Amino acid sequence: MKRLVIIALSLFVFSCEKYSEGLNVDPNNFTDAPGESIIGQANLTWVLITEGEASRMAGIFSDQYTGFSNQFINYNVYDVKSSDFDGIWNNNYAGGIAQTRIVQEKAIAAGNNRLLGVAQIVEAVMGADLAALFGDVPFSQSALPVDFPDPAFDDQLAVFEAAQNLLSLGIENVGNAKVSDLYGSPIFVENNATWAEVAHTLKARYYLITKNYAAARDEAKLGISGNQRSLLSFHSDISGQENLYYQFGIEQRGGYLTATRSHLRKLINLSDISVDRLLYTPGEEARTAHYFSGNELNYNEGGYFAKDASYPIVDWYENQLILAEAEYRLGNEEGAKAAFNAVRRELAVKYNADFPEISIGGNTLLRVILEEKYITMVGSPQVYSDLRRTNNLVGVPVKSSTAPNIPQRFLYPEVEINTNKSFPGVIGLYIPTKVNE
Amino acid sequence: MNYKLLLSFLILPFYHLYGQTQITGTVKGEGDDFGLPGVTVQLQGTQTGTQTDAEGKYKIMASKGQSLVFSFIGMERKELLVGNQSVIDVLLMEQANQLNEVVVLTALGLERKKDDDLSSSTLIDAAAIKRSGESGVIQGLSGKTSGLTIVRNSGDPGAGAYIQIRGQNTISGSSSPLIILDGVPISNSSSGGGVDGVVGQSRLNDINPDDIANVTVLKGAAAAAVWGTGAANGVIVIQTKRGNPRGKKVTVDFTNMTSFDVINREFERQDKFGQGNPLLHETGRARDAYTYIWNPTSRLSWGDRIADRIGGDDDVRVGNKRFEAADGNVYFPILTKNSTNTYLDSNRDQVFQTGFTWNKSVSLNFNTNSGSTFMSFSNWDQKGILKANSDYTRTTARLNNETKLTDKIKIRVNSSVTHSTSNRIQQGSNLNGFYLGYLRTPADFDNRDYIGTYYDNDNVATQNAHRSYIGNDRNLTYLGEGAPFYPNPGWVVNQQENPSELHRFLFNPEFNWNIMKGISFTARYGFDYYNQTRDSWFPVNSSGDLFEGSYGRSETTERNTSVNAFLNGTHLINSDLNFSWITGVQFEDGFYTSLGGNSTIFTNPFVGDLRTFGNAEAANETPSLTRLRQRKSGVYAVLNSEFKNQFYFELTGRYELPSTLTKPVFYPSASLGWVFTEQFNSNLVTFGKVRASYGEVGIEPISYANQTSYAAFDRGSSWGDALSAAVYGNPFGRSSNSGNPGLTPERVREYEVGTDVRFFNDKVSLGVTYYDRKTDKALLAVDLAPSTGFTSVWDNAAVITNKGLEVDMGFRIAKFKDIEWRIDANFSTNKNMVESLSGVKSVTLNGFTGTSSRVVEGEPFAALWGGKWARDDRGNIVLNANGFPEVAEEEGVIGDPNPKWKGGLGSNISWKGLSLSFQFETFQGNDIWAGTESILKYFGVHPETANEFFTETDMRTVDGRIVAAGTLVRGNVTDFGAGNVLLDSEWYTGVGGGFGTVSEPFIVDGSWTKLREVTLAYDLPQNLISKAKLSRASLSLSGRNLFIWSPLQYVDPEVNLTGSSKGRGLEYFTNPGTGSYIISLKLGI
Repeated sequence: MKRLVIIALSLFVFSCEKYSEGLNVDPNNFTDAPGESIIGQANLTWVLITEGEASRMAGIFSDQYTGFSNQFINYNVYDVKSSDFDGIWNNNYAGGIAQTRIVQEKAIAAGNNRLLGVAQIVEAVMGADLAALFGDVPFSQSALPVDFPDPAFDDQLAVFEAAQNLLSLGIENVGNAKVSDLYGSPIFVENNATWAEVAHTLKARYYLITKNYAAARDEAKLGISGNQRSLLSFHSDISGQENLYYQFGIEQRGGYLTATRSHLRKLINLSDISVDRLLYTPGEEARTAHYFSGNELNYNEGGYFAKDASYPIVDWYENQLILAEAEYRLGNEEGAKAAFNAVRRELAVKYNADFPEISIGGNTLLRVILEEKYITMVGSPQVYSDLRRTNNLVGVPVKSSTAPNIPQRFLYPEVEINTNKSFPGVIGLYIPTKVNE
Repeated sequence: MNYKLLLSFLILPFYHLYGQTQITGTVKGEGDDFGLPGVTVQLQGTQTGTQTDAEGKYKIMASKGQSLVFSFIGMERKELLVGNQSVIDVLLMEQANQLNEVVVLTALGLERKKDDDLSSSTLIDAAAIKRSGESGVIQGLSGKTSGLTIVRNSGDPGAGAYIQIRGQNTISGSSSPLIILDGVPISNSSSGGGVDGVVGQSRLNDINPDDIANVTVLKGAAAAAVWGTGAANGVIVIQTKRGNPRGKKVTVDFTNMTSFDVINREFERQDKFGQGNPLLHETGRARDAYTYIWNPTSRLSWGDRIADRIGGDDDVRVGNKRFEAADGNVYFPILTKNSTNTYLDSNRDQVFQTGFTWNKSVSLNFNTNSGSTFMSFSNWDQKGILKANSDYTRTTARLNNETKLTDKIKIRVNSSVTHSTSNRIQQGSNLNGFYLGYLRTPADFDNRDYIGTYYDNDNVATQNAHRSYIGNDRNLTYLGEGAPFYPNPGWVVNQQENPSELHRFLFNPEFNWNIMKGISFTARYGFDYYNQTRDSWFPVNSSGDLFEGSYGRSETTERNTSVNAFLNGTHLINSDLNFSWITGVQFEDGFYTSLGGNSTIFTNPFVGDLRTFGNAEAANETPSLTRLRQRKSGVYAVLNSEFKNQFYFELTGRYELPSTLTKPVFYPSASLGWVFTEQFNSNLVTFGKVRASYGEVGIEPISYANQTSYAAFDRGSSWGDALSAAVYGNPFGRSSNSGNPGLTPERVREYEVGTDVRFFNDKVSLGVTYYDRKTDKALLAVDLAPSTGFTSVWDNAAVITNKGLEVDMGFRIAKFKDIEWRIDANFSTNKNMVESLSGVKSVTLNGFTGTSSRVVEGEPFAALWGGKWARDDRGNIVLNANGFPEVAEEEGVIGDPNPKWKGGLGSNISWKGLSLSFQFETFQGNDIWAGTESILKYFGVHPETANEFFTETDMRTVDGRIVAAGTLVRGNVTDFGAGNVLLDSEWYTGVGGGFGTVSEPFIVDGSWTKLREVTLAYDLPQNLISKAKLSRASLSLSGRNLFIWSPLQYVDPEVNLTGSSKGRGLEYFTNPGTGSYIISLKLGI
């Protein structure tokens, strides 16, 4: 009897196991993907940091835009809190660096050097852009959850150095491949951009932020060599593929973000004489119309923020204006003017209007270059880096009556504060990051 | 007492000496034409007695002057003096509340006397549920017992409710109790629960409340332990009606209920100022701060003083550009706003109506020698308080049958089908939401013409243009030019559709076999299947990102099957000791699939009534598929014993293996009880029991949390702008949520002690229970530092405790002159604490980036979280140079949505056929985020923002202006600690309004007391209705949720934006709650 019970019981236990075995396999989700696919997620994240919330926030701090209604009113007077930066941070790490690390692993395993190179370039951007906006950030220990569940915060300068190294490696690995042929399409506009040129411009960008003007100049000379070789995000009128500014301003959050009384609008609006350009530019009339529509951003067809308007991620203008400033800083005013005037000629063509070239030099030249960059690179977080690096040489007003300055950094996000035991402590909005100390 | 006893001993023998005669008769039950078998007939004061036979007949020898006592379980005792008659026919009345006969249902659905039960389980009578007139069973339970929280999240027709027994136990698992219907588990999944969309339903609403016989709430872990995994939130055991095995062969009952629903609380809105803004917003000049202008492109009601306008018609530019409304009204671009009309009332009447519900139900009972049958049919038809597209209809049919095959074998089948349809209105943080558009509309904007044709300057027409108050520089949306940012509520209610349709089938056969004396075998099969389709339809020109049209549809199928077989034995060892045991096996299988799709941006706008896919470019046609499969097998055993009729003991064990785990788990429980009143006889304490128990139950990890997934993730911000991977080559990325293959079940351990006592001949009853439960290894997506590359990982990381006290009291105030009065009261308090989150500061349950309901270490569950004012070391608010508070750089806990205590008070007074009952319920000490109110301050719609006065001193504003004394301003004065400051438009549209970074000021006391229901019922007298060949007829009038007392203004404090999800205490443009007036007529044949 006893034996019978044992047999019956063990039979039952066995059948129980059989009954529920093998069912906990997800029928809804994939559990792996090739590196060639994953790189696309990192590229989308790159577009997002350049064109999304970080761009809007930087644009408000830079007074290119005005936070006009709802929650954005508070952003306009720098009333921001740590959780306002959660999304930017999450995207760059979980959507960016985490993915590029996987791609690199898979690319190495498969011996796909060019994929490896693209992943290195994208990863460098993720890290360096975070360092530029937040200061010290985790990078060397980031996206290694098993070894470093609480990644240490690297010194801001160390992150830029690591990014430069990655970019150098990336340049070696990608060869002369065009972006459109190699993992760039359909996220980036199909043009003649090459990964190597883009990476050199990026190196120039981050050398500029760290005030290494000589290296910035050298890299810019190897950087994006023509307007048709710029890296632009691709947008169309298909749902989910529209310009992010259009999505935000028309589809999702109408009225939040405008250009009402913004410094940029006053600067280029010829009929507003409260703020004028250093370099008189009749062509600003056309540019104002391209950028803005009344107080609103120009979301209309053909506008800068139109539904299907591609958006610069790293472009020739940036490369040229970095070159111009670097040359100036290195005492080569002629070189600076040449680079700057090339931009003006291109703008004259683009807007079919008068963008006079510059002949004078001295400090005014620097201010003119920075002002041009402030205008041309509307909505780029790079403008915000320039303002902080140059101690606001462009002269953007402080919009809050209680703020000592324009914000000097993005606040460390709530999500990281809450979870990372290595978090070094909250740093106030008006404390400059190390590169700008 | 003793004296009397003695006397009877002395006298009795003498009686016997006198001539005894044989008395015969028939005993019948009330309303019953057949004899009642088994009635005890006793000569009072003697041991002599007999029982009635199968026909209800009896024979007994008695003498004149003696009394016969007739008693039967469930019937009132009757004493009759023997006179000269030899035939005494007796009619026994049904006994209303015989407390020592109250039964509760155990977790396996078996009946057990409450007095023998060792848990805190409580039984809720069907009559009380029915009286509430609610469409759902669950809603009818609210306030009726301690420890049970039922919250109506919305007044929308067919809306679900949030159910919680004791406190919240789990973060990732379901918060709903296990629902056992006629012995088998059924689905109570609820849909919805985000910050937008439509109100969620709950599947418990599929059951017709008229079919319910009773409901037992098993609150403790020990009582629920046989269900092991899944029972951590308690168990609600529902029994449906069975055919009456005795009595009249056929009875028919008919119920007709009509209900009129009204909005129970409304927002107050200012009508002094029109649409527009301070001129300051345009010029940036301080001197323009108190010059208000009418501005049709502004979303705000910070515009001009309406009374200052010159009156009459607006100056318009008559030309091609115009809006022609469907009713022929023509609107031109406004040049000067002259009209002083305000439209709060007409805008209200545009959308609100008195809701109407008509419920018809008929049930049939019939019995034969071998069994009994219950059949019912019902039809619920409800139109909500919004004029269109808000309704709920439900048709149910039930057939329950019990058949005796032989003396030993019985078969029972419970089955029901439900068909329901509903249509719901978009709500919440939603550019197509009803309340959002309705409440933000300025007082001077007439919403009534919401649809028509827009003509541009070239007279080109746009059909079905959507006219709403808010536009921008380019679009005059009040002419229907372009899509609006915020919808016209008329559009939301009339043009958008969110229909759903459900078919559900429940089938539970049961087989009972009395194997031998004391041992029986029961096998049950449960089959619960439903299929639901849900559509969402946004026509072209809807608000926000759906202005080019969107159609979505999902088809969901859920199937839960279970097999449960057990042996049940009872053994009488001797007169002092008996024990019983149950041992069984159980298999459960759950299957869920949802297949759906979405078409956005219609290529053909001429859609008419067609709702289908294919009307969009390929990239905008998106299919979706979600599947879930879970199984569970278990064995269990229960051992009960009783010693000397006063000591009780129970042991339960369950061993099971769910498919989400690789190793089996064991759940034990033990209970002890002592009926101390067996030790002494007292008139004061008629019954008394103390009990103690310990139990363990669990929650299994969610399915598929063992793996990290890869998907084509969209990349975007919390504002809604996003790059859709699907249109960018569909790249796959690794999820930011890490899977974890080493998960174990969450384990809930609970100690419970309590007592059940009755005093004064059962007139007063009291049940008190204290519990202490702890959830260990609660599973959550633990936030990881995003810099690790993952934002979260599934882990058994949290410890949650709940401690509480539950008190139930009943007073059966003695009958006098046919008046019967009872009062029931309950009180519960639960202290909930998230003891540990393994170092994670907080986990969001639901809500917004700004304000959310979270699990925070060291705080009660679902704590409200958001932006706070900065504080110094001593806790004082830090002020800036302008004398205004500074915003803290970090967010934190700002409120606790859990009530400190809650209670219910119900009473029923009846006199002859007339009865009056009422039920109060209260929640005290819970916080709520008054999100809507905060936003209405931003918009200048809130009455607080319409205050105008002359400043008496110079004052600063939040943006640093100094306002000179004697300035006429719109706003209020306050002192944050550095002297008076002026709260004006810049304060309210900035940090002092709902879009500000600080949500702390909008956390308000959400305590409430509601008169849940008050009912006046009249049972028509028998002599009247018998002429109409009826055996029962009653008419009742009820009011439900008509009176609310709460410090929270303007909204029904029960509504919860995030529905029945675990996120609590959030209110944000949630569709309003309702109150009802109900008339019911019940007839019985």
